Amino acid sequence: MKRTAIMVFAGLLFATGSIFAKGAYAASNKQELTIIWMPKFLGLEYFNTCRKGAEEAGKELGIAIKEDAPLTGDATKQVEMIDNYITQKVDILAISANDPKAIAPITKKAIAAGITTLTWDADVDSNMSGRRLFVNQTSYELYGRGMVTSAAKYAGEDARVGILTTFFTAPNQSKWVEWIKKEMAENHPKMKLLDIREGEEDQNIGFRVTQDMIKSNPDMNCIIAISSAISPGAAEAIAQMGVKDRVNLIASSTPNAVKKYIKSGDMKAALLWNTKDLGYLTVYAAKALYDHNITGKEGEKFKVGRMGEYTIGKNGEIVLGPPFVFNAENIDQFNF
Amino acid sequence: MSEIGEALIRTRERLNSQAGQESGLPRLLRSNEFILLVVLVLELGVMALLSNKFLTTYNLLNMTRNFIERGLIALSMTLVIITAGVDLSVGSLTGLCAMAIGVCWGQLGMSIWVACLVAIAIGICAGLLNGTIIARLNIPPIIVTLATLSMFRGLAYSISSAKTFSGFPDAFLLIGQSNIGRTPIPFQLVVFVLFCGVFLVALRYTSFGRKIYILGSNERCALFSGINLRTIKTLVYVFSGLMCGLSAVIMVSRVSATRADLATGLELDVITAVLIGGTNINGGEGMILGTILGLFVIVILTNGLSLAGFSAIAQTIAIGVILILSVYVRTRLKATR
Repeated sequence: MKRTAIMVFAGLLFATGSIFAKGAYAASNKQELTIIWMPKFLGLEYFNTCRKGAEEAGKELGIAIKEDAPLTGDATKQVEMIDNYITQKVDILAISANDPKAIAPITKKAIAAGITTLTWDADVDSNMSGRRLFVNQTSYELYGRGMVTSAAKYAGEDARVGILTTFFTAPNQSKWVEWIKKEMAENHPKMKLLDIREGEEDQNIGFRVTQDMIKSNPDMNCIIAISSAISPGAAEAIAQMGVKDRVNLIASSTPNAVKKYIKSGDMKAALLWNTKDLGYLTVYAAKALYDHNITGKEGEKFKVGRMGEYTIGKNGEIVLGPPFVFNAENIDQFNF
Repeated sequence: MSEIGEALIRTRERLNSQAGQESGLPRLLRSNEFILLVVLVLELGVMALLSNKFLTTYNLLNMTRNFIERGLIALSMTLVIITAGVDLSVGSLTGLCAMAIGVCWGQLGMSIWVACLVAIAIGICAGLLNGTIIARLNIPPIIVTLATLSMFRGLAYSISSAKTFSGFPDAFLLIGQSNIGRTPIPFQLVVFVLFCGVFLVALRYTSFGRKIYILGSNERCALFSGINLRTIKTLVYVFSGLMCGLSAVIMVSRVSATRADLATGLELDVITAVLIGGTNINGGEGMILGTILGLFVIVILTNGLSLAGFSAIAQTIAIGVILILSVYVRTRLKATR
């Protein structure tokens, strides 16, 4: 009994020690410029690929990329984490915010402390925080309209649509929903929006909610799922219910996560942007901001390595480009 | 000797050993709180070595800002766990109260201060609900509060109608974001210290406190001692709800926004702090001082590791290890007494 107790402790200490060792090594590289790369939370493949792009740019520019984020999309934990980085007086903070308002005060504090701070993927309130740059993957308008165009292509002009979003309060998702509705009203008058539900950010919930939505709306022939966190769950629901010929799924997702569904037809199209490029662009923008080559004013231009030159738009927003449609014809060309 | 008689003697011995630490130095050195103090000093030393930004006045005071909400609830949770109960609904209740502030101020147009009072009132009523079901229907607290955990969170979502509220008046934001005058002391730290004092005195020096210990040590003994079990049980959960309402006010002020999913998982952080602090999950033992030390152990750990460059993953694993170690060491020490 005593021996097992000792072995259990040795095991625990070893596990903690090995994690400490990894952390300590990362901390000792303090000489070069460091960006704290903070997605909404850890563990989503989408964010992992963004980081890979960031690391690519980091290598080219000689900047260290250190990723850290809360384990869940908890705004208060993100606030605490940013607070600690302010205390450490890091060089650059690149944040994807869990809540545009809740993260704004701490962003303001970071900027006041002299840390170069910018947002990517999910913005903070620019007025409340005073942030100068936001790297947007695609404009909300282009993305929302693109989803509807794909919906019309696969489900017809008179499609009966359901939307699967994450949370009604999520900043990017709610803007996309607005533009989907606008595009439908403006250019596809015969299309009807039947239902809109939350899949939170959980695969299993997405799966269940999709099933419920299909069952409660028998004439629904198109579902637009607008988060890579829940799209595979939605596709799995369609696969298991065997309704791919009746219900067309247009989703937001990284290609690898849904390759099999695109090939089998359970998902008709996946719209996204090149997430690696998003990370790449953010790091270049961060460096340009840090060097005071740009200040976030509309019309300023800066070079982004292999991606050419970019111009800053309104309100400090840099748009990566229009959405990219992955479908059965082209999905094999992509591996992320 | 009768069963009740033995129970009374055991309870008295346990109470004496907690209340009368002054007698005998060896006992003091082996006391739970002293060990925690040693751990805390060691932690401070290790963290100071890992990062030169750690042991600064600014950092030491600033780090407290983020744990006040958990701290306030941990004070009332100590009372709950001493009665051999538990309140799993505190996270959801804090979220509900926070959402209530948003709805009352942002949607119904009440003054922000009235909205705060409403939130605290909701906390008290919810606590009353928990307490009444537990005390009257005799359903185990873990089951009741597990159910209300879902219920309160569901209510939070439903009153929110998927909105988040922000743009609160500056005076309100001072609660969570300001310092005392020109010092780096966060405002909410003063509030926390005040409540520490209140709870410490209540638990240690009032008959109410005594009754809580007796109820937790041996419920039958308490019943036959003429203690009104229902009142005591209901009251500890009412206090729990009150602290949730108060924490919600501070939390909303600190993040300048309220949304329905705030404080998800808060209950686990709170219970961890209370257990590291030496409160026995089976009831009958625990002190406010222990809880405060437990809170600091966790906060210093997460802040120190974060400053030293370790990720959130390392921090959560470290807390788990500390929890198991602290309970183990405590059990071993008790065996040698």
